[in-house]
Amino acid sequence: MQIRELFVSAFRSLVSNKRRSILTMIGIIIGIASVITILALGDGARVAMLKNLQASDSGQQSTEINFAASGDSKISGFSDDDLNRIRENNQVNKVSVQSDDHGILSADGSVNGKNINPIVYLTSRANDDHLISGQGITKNDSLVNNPVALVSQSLAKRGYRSNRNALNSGIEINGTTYTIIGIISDDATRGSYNNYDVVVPRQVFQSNNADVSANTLKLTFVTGANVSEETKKIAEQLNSSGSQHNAGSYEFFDMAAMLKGVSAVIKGITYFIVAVAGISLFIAGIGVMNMMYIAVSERTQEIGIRMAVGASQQQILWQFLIEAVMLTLSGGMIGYLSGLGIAMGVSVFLPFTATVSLSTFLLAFGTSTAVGLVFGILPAKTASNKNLIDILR
Amino acid sequence: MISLSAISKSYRQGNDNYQVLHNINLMIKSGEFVAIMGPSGSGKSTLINIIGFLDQNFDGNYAFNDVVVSELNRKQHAQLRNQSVGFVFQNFKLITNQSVGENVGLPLLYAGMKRRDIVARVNEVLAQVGLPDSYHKLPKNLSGGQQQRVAIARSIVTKPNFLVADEPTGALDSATSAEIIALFKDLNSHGTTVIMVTHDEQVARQTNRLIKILDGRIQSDEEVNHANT
Repeated sequence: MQIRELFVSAFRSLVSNKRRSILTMIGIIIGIASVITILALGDGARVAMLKNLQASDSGQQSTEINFAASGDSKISGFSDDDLNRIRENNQVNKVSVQSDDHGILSADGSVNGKNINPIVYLTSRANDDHLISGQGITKNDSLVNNPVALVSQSLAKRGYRSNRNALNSGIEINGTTYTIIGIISDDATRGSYNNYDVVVPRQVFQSNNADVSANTLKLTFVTGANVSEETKKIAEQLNSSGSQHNAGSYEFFDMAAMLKGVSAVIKGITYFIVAVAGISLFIAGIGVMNMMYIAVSERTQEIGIRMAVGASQQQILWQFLIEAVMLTLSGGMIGYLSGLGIAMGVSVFLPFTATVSLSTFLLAFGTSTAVGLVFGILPAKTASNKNLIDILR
Repeated sequence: MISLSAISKSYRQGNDNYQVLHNINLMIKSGEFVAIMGPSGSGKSTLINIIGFLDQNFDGNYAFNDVVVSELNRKQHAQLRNQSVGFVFQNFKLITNQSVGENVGLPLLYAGMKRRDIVARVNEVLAQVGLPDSYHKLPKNLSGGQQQRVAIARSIVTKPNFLVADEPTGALDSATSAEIIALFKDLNSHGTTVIMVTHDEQVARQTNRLIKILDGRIQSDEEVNHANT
């Protein structure tokens, strides 16, 4: 008998008993669908997290070392000597000292004698974002260390009552006086959520306020470096011989370790739920077995007829085995699709998208085939071992 | 073609050994039309199951066209059943949820033929047994006589060496029986060997050779004299 015929006849006997086949499949569908949903969401969460926390597109990762002064004093934690020493490490691609990630920090100051605590944005380029009146900071201002500033409308009003009065007046930030050359709107933001009140050239601010600005060191590593290990080494080195190791401590937040930890937790949860779904698959498999036993005893006559016209034992075995596998496999594929559907639907309400991977497809395919084989082999064996004479009597 | 020598068979029933066949010796040549008669329990069905390769558990020697049947494994046995013998049963034994055509084509599927070739051959055989254009009918929509014709069509579809019919008219009225016997006679006249079990004297008289069995032994084996009937 041709293999195609085995599939055709298996398919037809499943179709001829639609209701029973579908009821049997539901168990498989639920099992596979829940496994796929959980895996797709878990994978999605992991991928999204890795993407968020990893650095550049080229796969370079970066870490930050913070200097925390022990007292209230504002000292720069990183001297040029420190930087040069770190640059000798060939795992490190780039070292830069920065105020913080976005060039935004809070500062003390006064405007026309009134104390203020403005959020300051340090720009290293020309900047006229959100400008209402006056002019923006030019590249030249940065180059020649021109102490100029853009201030928000509310600060300008507070100090000088009107925008016009404020222009060309002074504002003092961290002890340095800047000339107000432009007024920006109150809702000036950098990125999506970093509000700021004042813009000053980074060069000017840093040369006058090294103590405030220079407490974060950003390290970018070459691709493939063991980031957390290297950062830890550098931090230890700084703590023992850094320029300010007596005045405070150098700390780093080990992003990679946290990343590993969180993804381990997500993986653990995923596997746990998959194990629970596995139990449902097991129960569904027993359902398949039950149905196949019923089918075998119901179709004893048919088995006898097939054997009498020349079906071998293997052919009878394969017929029932293929029937079982076809049942679980179609259940598995329906389950896979509905699992993906559920995962996609749920991920609309979540901050990440579910990922479809070939491995989950293969998992669904393999699991449902395996369930069919495991739970179909005994009924199929029963069918093929029936005694022809007894059946036909 | 068929050569049985010293065939014996016994069943175990509890502690007793119940012997169904005692030392049967039988030769059947190609082209014969044989009837086997005997009361129930005489062992005629057992004998015919052995002849038709359904039963492999017996003592003695069965040679079919120089093939020693008892030496074949189960797979070869199935293959022999598929290619060399056609069965007709008393209760037709059609698969009820498959169409007439599929029932008839079943042996060809197991012989490994392609579906397209099968359909052509099945239609040819259905026409031969007097049921043209019934490929897509379901067996339950046919009368008993028609169902038996389908079964006969199935038995001859592989062009087997011989047909084995176990009480083919047992479930039919006399008029339909006559039609079926006429069909067998027609097949026989075209060269098909037919071995038929019956307990109907009328039916047996239609054949060319009558073997009577009692208690597992051959009582008589004689040519049928058609002049008397």
